[in-house]
Amino acid sequence: MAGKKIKLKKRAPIERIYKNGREAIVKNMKRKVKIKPLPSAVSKPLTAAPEPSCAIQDRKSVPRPMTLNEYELPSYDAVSRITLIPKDPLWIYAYWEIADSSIEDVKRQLGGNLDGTRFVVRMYDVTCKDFNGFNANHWFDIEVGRHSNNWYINLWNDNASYCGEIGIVHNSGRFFPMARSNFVHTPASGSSNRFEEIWMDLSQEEGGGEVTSMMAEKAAGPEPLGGVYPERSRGTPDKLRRGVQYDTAGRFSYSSVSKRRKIYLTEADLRAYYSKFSPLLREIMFSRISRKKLYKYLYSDMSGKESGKESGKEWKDIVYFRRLAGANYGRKVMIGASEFTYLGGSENIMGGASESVQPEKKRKFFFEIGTELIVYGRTEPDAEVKLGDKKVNLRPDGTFSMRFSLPDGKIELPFTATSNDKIETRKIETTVKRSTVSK
Amino acid sequence: MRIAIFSWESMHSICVGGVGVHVTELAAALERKGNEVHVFTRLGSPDQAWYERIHGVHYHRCPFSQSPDFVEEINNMCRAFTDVFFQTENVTGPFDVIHSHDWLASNALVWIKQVRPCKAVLTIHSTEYGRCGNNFNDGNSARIRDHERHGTYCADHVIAVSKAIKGEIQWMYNLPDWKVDVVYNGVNYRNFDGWIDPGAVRRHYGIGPMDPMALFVGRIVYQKGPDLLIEAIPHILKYYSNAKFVFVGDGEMRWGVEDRAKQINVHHATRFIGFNNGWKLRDLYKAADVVCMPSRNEPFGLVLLEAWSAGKPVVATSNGGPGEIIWHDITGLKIYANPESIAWGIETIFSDFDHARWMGHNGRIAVETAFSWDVVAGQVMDVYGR
Repeated sequence: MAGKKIKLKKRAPIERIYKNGREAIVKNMKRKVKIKPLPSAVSKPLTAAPEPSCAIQDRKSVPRPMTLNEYELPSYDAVSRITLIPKDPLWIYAYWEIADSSIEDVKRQLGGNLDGTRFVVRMYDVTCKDFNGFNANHWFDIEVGRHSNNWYINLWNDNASYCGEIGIVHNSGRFFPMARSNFVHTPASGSSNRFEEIWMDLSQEEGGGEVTSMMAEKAAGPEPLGGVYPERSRGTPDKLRRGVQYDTAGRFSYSSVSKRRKIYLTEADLRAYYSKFSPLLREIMFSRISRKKLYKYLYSDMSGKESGKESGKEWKDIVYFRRLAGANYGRKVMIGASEFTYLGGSENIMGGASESVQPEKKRKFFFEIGTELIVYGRTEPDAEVKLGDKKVNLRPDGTFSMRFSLPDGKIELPFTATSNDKIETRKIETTVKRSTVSK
Repeated sequence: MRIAIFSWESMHSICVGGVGVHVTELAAALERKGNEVHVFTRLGSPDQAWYERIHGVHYHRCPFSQSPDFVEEINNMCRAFTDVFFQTENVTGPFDVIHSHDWLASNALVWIKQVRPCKAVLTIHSTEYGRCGNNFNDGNSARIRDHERHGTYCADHVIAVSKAIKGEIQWMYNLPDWKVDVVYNGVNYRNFDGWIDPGAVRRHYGIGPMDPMALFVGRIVYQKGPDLLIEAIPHILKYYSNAKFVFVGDGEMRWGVEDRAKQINVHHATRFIGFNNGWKLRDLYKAADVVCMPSRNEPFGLVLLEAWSAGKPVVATSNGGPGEIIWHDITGLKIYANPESIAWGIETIFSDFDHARWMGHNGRIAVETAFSWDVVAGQVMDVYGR
């Protein structure tokens, strides 16, 4: 309002401002800036140049903002944990905390110190996989150092599921994970190339209502690269998974897949079939399996005793323990070697068809002993020694030693020695008895 | 153990076929197991060094004089190998095992064995009989067969790459059973890891992303049977009109096969790429739906292992190598070398892609279990030890 009046009445001063052009306004502005800290002085030039002053007046009315230069989030690192957040199709943001207790655990495993180790975040691509620690599509490490607690991670594929682990890797290649993150799925960066219909098999219980929603989801979302697995990530709910071609656990026994055939075959059977090509292969397969089980055992131990509840959960997550929990067969915990050839055959031993196809294996703990008997003696080098009526050969110095197997029962050893000139004979008879009791 | 390998091709000199890959990978795998490995091979090009150490394996590239007579030229090559071998022995000491690949290097084995007490092993990748289309031809063919016979006679052990080849050389060259061992080829399946966009690869060759695509890799020669595949295409197109067939490879029959494709009006569904063995071929493997090997005669079939490394099912002949290795309907389909059978195989794959993907996945597991080079090297060392 005041401005309007000024326009009508005091044209001259405004014209002056306009005549001077910008300089006048600038001059006024400059003056304003100089006397900023003294609010009383500002009111004087207010009438001459209304517009700039209004802006400054606004500024004056706002209280001065508080600056926090040294503010940090409180850290709560009694527990190691890591979280991933997808930022965009090719970037994931990871942040974590490392508990001292986890580091102590690793130090203990390594023998006291952290020489030759690096702190890394290991990213696993677990698209279309039920991750059990070992079956990622691929993984890579990012060295992050002891003291950082967040990282932006660049990926090569969009529309993929990832899981991360913060841990320590030793120069020998051994990896000690300290925490595993949540599973994230990065969005796709473009629309899918596929546009054919994907028909869902409705042989299961799901009603028609599910169909449309599922079809919509499938049609809208782009397909994973490679066109190999149309399955979604681990994050999709159970219902959606059921109609899809592949079982999430990577099992080969699924009924809803092939329109015509139901084939019950596991990875273990396949490996067993192909290992027939060489006896060497069977050994290799065996050793690979037992190594995996040992690592699993170690990993679960690594979760730390502090995170008591969590470690319990970790145990349950480990596949073979889950299997035992739900087992109908009453098999015992297998760390023994003999069990690995069957149970450990597949990466994912989530029951599946192998239980119906293969016969139940009893625990084959074996223990055997054998005994042998050594008898030795000496006489004159040219004498003749007989055991019973069999001649015993003497060494050049007159000694002999004999080795027998020692079965159960009684063994009599009558030795006779005759001097070379047949004048003197000596007889020594000894008896050995073995009786075995096995329980 | 100190091992000397003689081969006329390797990936680090000249590589024409599977033998080159086999030799290079086997040498590297043996080196990983802690042996000292020397490979004696040809000069690939004049600017290659005569001696080089690649991945721990000592490569000796031996120059030799040419000759208009091919067999005589190969003899020159073997003489060069033995010469360099003795020079190397003077520097490094005696070798424990000498291992030759195919008839081309067998003379080197024979000559060295006459004067040194090493263990001599010969690997037969294919026979001259098989290369001539299961015929006993005269002329150079007969001389080559003589080379093979003599090499297998002189060697301490012979490695055959499949049971079929073992049977073949046993009846052809009268080898006793204890002398021949079967060690399958391996493949470096790591080369096939990784995801690519099959749609983009297909677009490059003018194939729609949703067209069922069959891949044929191999020399376009009578032995590999690409003409059978061409004859089968009309039948397949009747049911899958958008199916496409890609032929990678070159050979004497190539133009004949293309003309035949034009004649029966299936040329629009075929793509002839020519010879390729790099990342382009690997991308084609990953982009295909099925790999077809309709060979009339196939000693082993490395293409089979490559297809499995890429996770693709295989429709392959039951003659020879593939017949022993494929588990029918689990890792691939076994067919007969005639067009109707090929058509059946490919149509079965196209009708059920889930099953096809499952078979391809099984193939990948098979490759990881039994056909990695470390496993093969272990078996070869087992043979050395016998």
